Amino acid sequence: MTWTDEELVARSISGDADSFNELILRWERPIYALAYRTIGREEDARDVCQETFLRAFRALPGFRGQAKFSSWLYRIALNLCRDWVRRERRAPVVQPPEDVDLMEMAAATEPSESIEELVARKDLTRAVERAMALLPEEQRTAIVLKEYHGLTFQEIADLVGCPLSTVKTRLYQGLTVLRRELAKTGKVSSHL
Amino acid sequence: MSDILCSYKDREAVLMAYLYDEITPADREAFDIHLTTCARCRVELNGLGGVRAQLLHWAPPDYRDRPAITGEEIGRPREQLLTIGEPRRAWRDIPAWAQAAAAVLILGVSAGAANVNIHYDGQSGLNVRTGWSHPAQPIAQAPAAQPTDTATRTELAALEQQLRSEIQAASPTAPETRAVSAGNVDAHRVKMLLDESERRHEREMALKIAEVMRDFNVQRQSDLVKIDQNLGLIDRRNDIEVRKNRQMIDMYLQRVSQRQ
Repeated sequence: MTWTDEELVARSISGDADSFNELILRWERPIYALAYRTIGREEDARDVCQETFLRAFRALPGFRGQAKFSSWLYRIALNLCRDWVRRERRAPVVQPPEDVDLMEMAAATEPSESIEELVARKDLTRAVERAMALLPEEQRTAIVLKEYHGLTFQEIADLVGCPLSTVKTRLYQGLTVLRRELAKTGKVSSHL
Repeated sequence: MSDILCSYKDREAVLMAYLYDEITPADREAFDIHLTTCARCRVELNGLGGVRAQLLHWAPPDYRDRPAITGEEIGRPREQLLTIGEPRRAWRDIPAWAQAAAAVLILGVSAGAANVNIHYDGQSGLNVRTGWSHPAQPIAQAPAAQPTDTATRTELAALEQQLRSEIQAASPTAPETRAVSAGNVDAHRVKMLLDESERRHEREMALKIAEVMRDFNVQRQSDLVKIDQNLGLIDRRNDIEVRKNRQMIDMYLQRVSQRQ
């Protein structure tokens, strides 16, 4: 039987550790991905992910279900990410994967994907990472929540605590910057 | 005619709503009509759609198949929790001798990458060549060195196995049945490539070390033979000298006894 998040929360509050395990298994990857895309450091993202579940567990008795469990979890993670950025006092540093040997890449390439396509894909990933790192925290967070976590405008507004129109503005401004930056690398058209 | 400026009401908000399909049917219909006459909005919408397509390529690094923390571990002290899910700390748990051996492995890998060739002989002493130097002369195979060579390889293989066991034991076990998300496949493949590269370098390094040790043993045995020969020669010379001295003493004694 598949329990809903809210049912698992209720069982966790009553002392069932397995239920909290299930919640972790469900949400650790999205939370880790959110943290990584927000702060850009793999190990720190892992720390944030762990700390998110610790705080969630401690605060579980106070969770009244006004919001979805996932939204509540996202809020904890975003607050931790914000703390991290302030503590480090710097823009997120994206760690591009280490350069790999082209011959080995060629040997491991899928039959349907040429080595040129694979290299182009890696270049594109790095271009996106660099462009995202240029965005202000608010715009980056809005884009990450929208693009990679599929939240609605209203959910993002509730999560970050701003008007719905502000969310749209942040998204528009962020995407416009990304478009301009990616155009410099020839990844997208720069024409208005 | 393309509009240089567009005065559509709440243009940016409507563009976002249209782009993400969070728009009422009535607003969508109105904006569709607007798009037929406004090239600026049309081009910008296409451009932003292109950005969204590119964003799909950004996947976080491979998330190792183990939870950040588990329900049972929640109850443990904070200090213990910090060691969970942090591979960089697991490295510190490896014994010092294993870390030292790993350092030797890394040195060997570096030497392999630089195509370093280390050779020692009695005439020219220690020679170190890199890939940019002339290729090293082939080394004569000494039958007596074969058992040593085999033993060295066995020892190296055992050392590698021991190191791997230590490292695996130091890191938490991974659940086997976790599904790898599509976004992580790429990073997963890169990790596999790096692992394979590491294994290849380790093999090359082991071979390199075995060659160096074999050459060293051959040279050592050769030197020992020479030393033995030289010592024997010295002994023989000493024996001859002693014999001559004794003969001379005997002669003197005979002469002295004859005079008396």
